[in-house]
Amino acid sequence: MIRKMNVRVNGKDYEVEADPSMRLVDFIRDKLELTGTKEGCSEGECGACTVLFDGKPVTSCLMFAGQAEGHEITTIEGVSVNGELSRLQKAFVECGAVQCGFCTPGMILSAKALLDRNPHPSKEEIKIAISGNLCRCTGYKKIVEAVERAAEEG
Amino acid sequence: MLVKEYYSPVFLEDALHQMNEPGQVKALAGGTDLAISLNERTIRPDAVVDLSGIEELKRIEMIGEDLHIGSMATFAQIAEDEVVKAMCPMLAAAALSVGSPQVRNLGTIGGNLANAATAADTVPALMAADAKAVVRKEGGERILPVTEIPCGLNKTVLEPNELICEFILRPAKGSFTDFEKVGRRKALAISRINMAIVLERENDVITKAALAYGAVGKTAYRASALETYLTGRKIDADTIDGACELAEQIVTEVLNGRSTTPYKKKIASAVLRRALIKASGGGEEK
Repeated sequence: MIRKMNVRVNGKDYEVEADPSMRLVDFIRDKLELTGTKEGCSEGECGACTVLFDGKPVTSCLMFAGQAEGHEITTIEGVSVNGELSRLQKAFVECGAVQCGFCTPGMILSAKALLDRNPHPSKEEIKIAISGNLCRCTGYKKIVEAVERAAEEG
Repeated sequence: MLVKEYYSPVFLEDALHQMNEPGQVKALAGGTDLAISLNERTIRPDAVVDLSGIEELKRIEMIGEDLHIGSMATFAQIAEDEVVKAMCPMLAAAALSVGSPQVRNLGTIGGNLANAATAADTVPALMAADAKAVVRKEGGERILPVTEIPCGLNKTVLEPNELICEFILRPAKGSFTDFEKVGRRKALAISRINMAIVLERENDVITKAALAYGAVGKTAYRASALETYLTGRKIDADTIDGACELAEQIVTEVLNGRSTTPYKKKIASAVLRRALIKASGGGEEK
């Protein structure tokens, strides 16, 4: 079924004709054309498709678009501030925490959700926060360092 | 187009009504299992009833001496809830052990039971807590012990139009509770085994034991022979050795020659030993 759906993504209200039983990741990429959200494993294991749902990280491949109606979604496109990379994004660049970049959007959103509620996390808390995001290039050391650097600079 | 109808009810009564619509109707709780099955076309329901808009199913509260947990409470909500942590710490620990932060923000306790995977982490904890489930359909309600709901791999005794609405359990004051799990890694691990245990004691003697295993056999279950064995004993080295030996026997019987038996019986006794040592050393007393 197709119906008119209202969702708020990155602070912007969208009214879109769509099938609420399509996956949220497809809705975001194909309907809203926000392709920063990546699809990896399609079964909630890799975290590449992570978006924030009312501020909390969720895997958008495990959600239906209908579940997002009336809620606030943040994708990687909504993290930069006035066209400038956020502190956290800059820290990823500076620390070399990006290699192929496929895990980066999800990794940054999981880290952002952590820093938004806990601005000065321990290393252990950072590791737990990104435990649902897999990186197959650099390993996790530089990613953890980037989150630490962003936290230090507040 | 995946389904003909996608319902987004706000009231439980509407959801119960929609569950009676013609064709195959599936309830959508968190979606972490359903979204995969639908995407892979392993199921083709005619309609989906999305329960995420029904606020009354998300409540966690003490009413009198009973802890009520709404079926749509997420694992994250349960793991962080101060009342659950104080009244039933093994359930909070079980919820915290599920998947990843992302999955815990979506998956629900009701969905965990309804999906009836043998490795479901909150199910042994509900069973050991003697939890009951309030199950409703349009015009009817029944209250079932959680132990009676799963009846096979991904199978429950629930009728297709029935919804699990809440769980009710009575926390025993001063009891020891623990949840143990063995997975291949810490995050995103499907349990190779999980176990929840409740011990009530007077002067160090166990007066009541409740113990449930998951991921051993087709459904989680209460190990009543172990409960009987532990009752009336003090936790010392002999009791622990005897209980662990019995755990190995029980698992061997349940698995009935399956190739995983040698491994599962060892980890079944290992998690039990871990819990009993915690209980004797004052580990997670509350």
